[in-house]
Amino acid sequence: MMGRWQILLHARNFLSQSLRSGSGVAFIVLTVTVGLGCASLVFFPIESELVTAKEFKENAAQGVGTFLAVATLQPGKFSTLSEQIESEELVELAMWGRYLVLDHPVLLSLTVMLLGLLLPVLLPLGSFACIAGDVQHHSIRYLLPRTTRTSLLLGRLLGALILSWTVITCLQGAVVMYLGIVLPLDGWGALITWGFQTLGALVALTVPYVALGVLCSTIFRSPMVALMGSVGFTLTVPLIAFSSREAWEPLGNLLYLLPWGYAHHLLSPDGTVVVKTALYCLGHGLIFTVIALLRLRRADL
Amino acid sequence: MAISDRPGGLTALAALNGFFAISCGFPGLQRILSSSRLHAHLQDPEATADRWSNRDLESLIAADVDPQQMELLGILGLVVALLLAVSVWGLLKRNHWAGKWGSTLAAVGMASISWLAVEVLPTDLVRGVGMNLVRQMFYPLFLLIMIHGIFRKDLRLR
Repeated sequence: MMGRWQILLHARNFLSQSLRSGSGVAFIVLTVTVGLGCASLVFFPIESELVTAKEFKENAAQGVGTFLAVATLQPGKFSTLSEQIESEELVELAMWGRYLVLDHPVLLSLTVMLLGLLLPVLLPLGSFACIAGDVQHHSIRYLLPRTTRTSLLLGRLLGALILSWTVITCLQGAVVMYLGIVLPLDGWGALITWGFQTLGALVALTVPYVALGVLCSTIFRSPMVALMGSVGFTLTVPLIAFSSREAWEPLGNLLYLLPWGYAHHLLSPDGTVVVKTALYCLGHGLIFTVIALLRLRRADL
Repeated sequence: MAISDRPGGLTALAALNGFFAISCGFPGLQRILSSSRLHAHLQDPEATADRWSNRDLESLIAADVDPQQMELLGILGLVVALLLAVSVWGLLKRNHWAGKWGSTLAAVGMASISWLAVEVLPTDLVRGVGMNLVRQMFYPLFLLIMIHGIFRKDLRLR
């Protein structure tokens, strides 16, 4: 009971500390600015009347299908993938693309897909100083006699998650409101329902990347090195996986070291697959948390 | 050397205000220049025809933009840039007037410029930037929340 209260207390303190610290301000401003920038990029062709909504949807279905083919590590080159989708060889992916673009608000789907690619790089900004900040300033020595290392880590992880979820919810809310008021291609009902579903997907996707940030924060004693470590790892995994896949196909599976390999299934038309993927994300987050916990408990502070 | 007790967030806000001061100041100057060009063109179209074959100027003329409104927008931009610059010093020094009220006035000014730009500028220039306007509205709102909520005690009158 006492431990639970301590976790909540650490979470609250972390939230207030990160809002007052430069890293929290940078995280909020960067995430919202980049998120709204993504949305602006997606809305631009329709807003500036470069294409009609119908043309946009047709082109987007093709693009999304190709993106899914790349993300699901389909054999073949990038140029041939789009041809395979056009000739309906990859019929399942073509259907999936149409589900995201034609059955649901297209602009929201595309914005969420872009966010899914960019958020993993931005999320460590909200969690990199969790432990490393206190270790660097030696203030952790004053905390540890009053609390356990487990509650400290879990509390700060919870605080970082709450901060990230709040920022993502505000961002998603702004996008849905804007689409409903300024670009009403779809009704409010469809927008709100899909808005909640995609928000759930982003919330699940947040867990492993925030946990990775906390893990790097326990491994490295300097917050900046922790930030570089988590962002570097997040970016290096897909780069190495895709480049080494050219040499030997199974090396493409390195993508599964992080949720890069399966996160797109959070937007799958099959509800069971979505739930399973969300559980995988939580599991991935749990693995990172357990490693961080073991590391912190053994660390000489 | 004594360690500063200024929260890192205030330093970050000061840096962001500095960045936004630059991004408000230059468009302000550009608008003042455009308004003077527009004014000169409206007074003597033939004399200035070959001097400025600017596409933006043509769209301003076609949209029948009032040069005085344009000038007002430019001056407002410069005033906001100045307020933001003052607030940078105020936030770094944790000064109540320059930090808290300089930032507040600058935030209101930034939001007003975005709104006035939509009202004054021709549709061709502002079409397709709706989400950018939301983005421009975000920072003033965030600044107000931080200054009047999170850093309320740090910027109180001493």
